[in-house]
Amino acid sequence: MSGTAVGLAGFAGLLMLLALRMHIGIAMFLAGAGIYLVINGGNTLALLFTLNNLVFARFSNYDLAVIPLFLLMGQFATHGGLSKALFRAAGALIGHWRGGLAMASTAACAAFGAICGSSLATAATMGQVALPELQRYGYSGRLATGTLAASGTLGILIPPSVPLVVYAVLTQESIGKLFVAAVVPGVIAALGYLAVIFLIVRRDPDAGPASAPVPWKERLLAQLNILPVLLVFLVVIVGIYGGWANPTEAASIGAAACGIIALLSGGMKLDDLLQSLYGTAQATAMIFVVLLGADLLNSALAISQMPNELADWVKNSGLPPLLVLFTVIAVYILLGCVMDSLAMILLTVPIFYPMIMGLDFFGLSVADKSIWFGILALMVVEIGLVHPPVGMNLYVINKLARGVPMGETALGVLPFLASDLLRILLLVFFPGVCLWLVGVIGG
Amino acid sequence: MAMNEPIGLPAAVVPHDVVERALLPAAKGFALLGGAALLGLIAMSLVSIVGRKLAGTPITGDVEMMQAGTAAAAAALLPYCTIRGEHLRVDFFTEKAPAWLRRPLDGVADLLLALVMATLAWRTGLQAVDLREAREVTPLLSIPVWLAVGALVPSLALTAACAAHRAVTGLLTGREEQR
Repeated sequence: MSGTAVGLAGFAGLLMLLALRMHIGIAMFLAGAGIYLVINGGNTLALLFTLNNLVFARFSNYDLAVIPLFLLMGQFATHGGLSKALFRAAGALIGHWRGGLAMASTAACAAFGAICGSSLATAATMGQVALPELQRYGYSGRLATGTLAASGTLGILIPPSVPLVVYAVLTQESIGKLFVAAVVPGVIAALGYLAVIFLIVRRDPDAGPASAPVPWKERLLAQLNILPVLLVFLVVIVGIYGGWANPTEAASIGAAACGIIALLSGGMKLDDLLQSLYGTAQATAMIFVVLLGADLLNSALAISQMPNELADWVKNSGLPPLLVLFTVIAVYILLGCVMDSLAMILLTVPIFYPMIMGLDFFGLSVADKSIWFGILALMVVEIGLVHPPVGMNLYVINKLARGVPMGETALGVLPFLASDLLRILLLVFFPGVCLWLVGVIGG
Repeated sequence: MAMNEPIGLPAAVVPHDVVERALLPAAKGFALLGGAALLGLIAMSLVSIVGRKLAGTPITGDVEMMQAGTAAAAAALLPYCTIRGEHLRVDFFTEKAPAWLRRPLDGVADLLLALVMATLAWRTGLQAVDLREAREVTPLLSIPVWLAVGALVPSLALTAACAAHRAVTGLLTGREEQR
């Protein structure tokens, strides 16, 4: 059997294990071990020896250290009451517009996303703060839950973003460049959601009634609460990109700053601190077990030559690059029905990345293409969090909004999904959307 | 519905039996130790960066400490997630399957997790022994590498034990899923 055949068989076995409810990291580990054994002619000892350093080598990777640190930062932001301050600030400013409180939720999610690298955490925390207000002012359940489920994805679309860190580690890409590249598409995402809300309330004014305006003085005072959050974001992003802190150090600064803000604002007590640590423990462990399995799988796949041969085959097949790209995107959207975004990136990037890098898109350089595909992959896998039937954000928000049927939430998110798809098309045909800022700051 | 990503609001966990009454506090203790280690690393990182920017004197070997520290911390966070049964899985295809089908599958999944973790604990332990004999040390601080590697072994072993316990209770007693 050729290496490629072994690789493909291993992959098929992996998918079967996944369908049978095996843990994703363990299924990847077993598939990797299987490929390894077959290629090495059943030499168990050789496999065992490669395992000797597997855990330490993976866990002591300096770049991966940012993951627990960013998760801790998000936990501090979650438990420290920062979400409430952000929603109040946005609500004071635009809450009196028609649909204004929904727009304020989106804006607050975007700001929260700037200090939190997780979508579900963003959806859950902002949902707890914003849903009761939206319901109090008579917003329709469909608009309220749809807005929050979709806006929650801004947690990941706007950097820092854990999937981008994983992409960077897999492809040897710069975390700083990827974060900067994600800023403009993230802002476009937020603007797109605002536009969707605007259009919805124009068609159906009852869906999002205006609330009473707040006096100007209060409006301005409420904005002061945003400053610390903005500061943390700038320190993290500018610090990494400006080169005076590496991503791991910047994540340390961000986590410390969020912790201190949470303590000073009085939102975080001892119990919240413990909950933050447990939450970080759980999230980190989930990700690191998958990383461990993916490590073995990817080195086994590399030995099998399957990704390279597949990439060569695609390159020589004469298929139009855009057709290949849209197929990849379609695969991501389908996988998003069944799988978590991080697992998807770990599973597919080793195979899709060489494929995309081997093709020509609008004459982009290799460096640009690598960043562009990373941002594109991030946007596409994020859609998986909100599209029915199993978008996790839908479940989280629907559970928080008592009395809103699941069907309403699923319908409510559809217009936002349309804006997601438009944004992906924009990014496909205009890579400058993500590359522009990298060029400006990188000078 | 499997939690694909943590939302940071874990519900309280109630131990089901005697073994779990021992494993759960151990797993929680490891998680808090790992968390405390992360907080320590953050403080170290801050001191180092301030020192470097203001006084031109970073902490010697800050990268080494961060690497060894995160490895040990990350490993210590594994048992907690494992005893709670929160590791990522795909349950799209079996969500509507009857419990008599799902329960043994989950039991087998936990059994495999236990076997993999036990194997990794064993191999990592061997690696530590080898490194100790080779007297390998880190370049700047001369910390013996075997200590950094060996620090992972108790965490991996406890993770294996937690998974094994879930597998046994899942397969033998047919306990309902926790989530």
